[in-house]
Amino acid sequence: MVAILGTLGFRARSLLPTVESTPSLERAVVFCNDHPRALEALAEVDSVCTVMGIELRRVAIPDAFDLLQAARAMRTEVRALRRKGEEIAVFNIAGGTKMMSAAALLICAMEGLNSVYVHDETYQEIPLPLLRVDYSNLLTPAQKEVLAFIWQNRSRPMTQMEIAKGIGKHKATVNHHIQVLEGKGILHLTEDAADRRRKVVTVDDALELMMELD
Amino acid sequence: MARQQGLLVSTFGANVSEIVPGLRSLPHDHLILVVETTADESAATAFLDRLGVRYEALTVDPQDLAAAAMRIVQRVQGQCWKGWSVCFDITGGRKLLSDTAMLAALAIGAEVCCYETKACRFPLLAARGVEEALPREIADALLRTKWPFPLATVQELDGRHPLAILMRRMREMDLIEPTVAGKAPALALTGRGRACLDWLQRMEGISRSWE
Repeated sequence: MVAILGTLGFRARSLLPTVESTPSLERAVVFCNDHPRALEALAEVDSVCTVMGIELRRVAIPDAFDLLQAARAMRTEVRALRRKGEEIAVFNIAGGTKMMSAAALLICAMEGLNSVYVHDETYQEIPLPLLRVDYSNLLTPAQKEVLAFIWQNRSRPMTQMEIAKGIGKHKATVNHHIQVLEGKGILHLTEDAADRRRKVVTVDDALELMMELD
Repeated sequence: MARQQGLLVSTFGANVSEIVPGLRSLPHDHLILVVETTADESAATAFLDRLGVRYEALTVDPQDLAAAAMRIVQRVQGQCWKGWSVCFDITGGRKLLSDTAMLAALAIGAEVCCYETKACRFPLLAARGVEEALPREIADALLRTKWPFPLATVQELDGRHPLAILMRRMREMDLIEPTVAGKAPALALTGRGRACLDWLQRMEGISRSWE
């Protein structure tokens, strides 16, 4: 089955060119929030899809301004479609909020999806030069082990010593990995709010998405 | 050891408040404000002048998203080659401007941040860019081949021939697809292939990241 993905805002016309141009299209999956105007646009897309015999499915994005939430929802959908053996022809990133659109671009790079945007005035589809970058494979197994441990214990930020104890590795080894990861900007050493003499290791929420820690 | 210098690239629309969270929380030595050709950045420049921030405005036309992204990449690459860290704040401006900055960040492999509802950083993006995902031999083949390419030429080759391997890899990357040119079967560029070729051709005048 051939499917397309698309972010949808208030204008159905930002998505319809992709519905019309994709050969053998059988399913369109649309990411949109609950705003009445977005639902109006969805109804317009639905009416076109009905006439063309294309199944339309909506994935609700409760907070269209939360980039990470939108990206998680999109990746889950991409993986689910692939598990079912569906071919994702393209991801149209033109509609929705800017955070939804940015999330879609990120997922296209992470999952290696073809992406297009639709010109605001001409409604011409324009493919984007994106290729797959597998971010989860850019770190060594030892670095991943350290990060995974920090992620699992993120509710209680730990010192380097505590991390070394937790994963059963020598302090110097763990300190080395943490220095390298800090140098890459993947984690941060910050003062503990409760005790400013302690330096604890913190990570960003997006690490889960990038490292596939979920 | 010398401290690594930082470049902050912030998209700007109309409100100074859009760039303040990034300015305050992302360490930087120089700021590039990405603004649209029609934008009035005077409010931002007055604010930055008062703060004494070193900045410059980079004007782009996001209606041509890829060209605008390339303009940002061209401007930023010099600093990348000098070893600066680069961070993009995509909070400001309209959607198309944020998309432009996001595409540029993904292309070169730079950290992306946004402050729409809460601070959100994507650190691993700095590890590798899309340009590096396009190996040099594939990029050269995209640039030097006359498309569409006759399928018969590839079929005559042994499967282990470098050209046959190259074409298979390009097919796997969804850069080319079978088609019919005239009456003969051929391999033609896909939408992604055309977009990548367009990007490479526009970048050819400039030193490429793998050189």
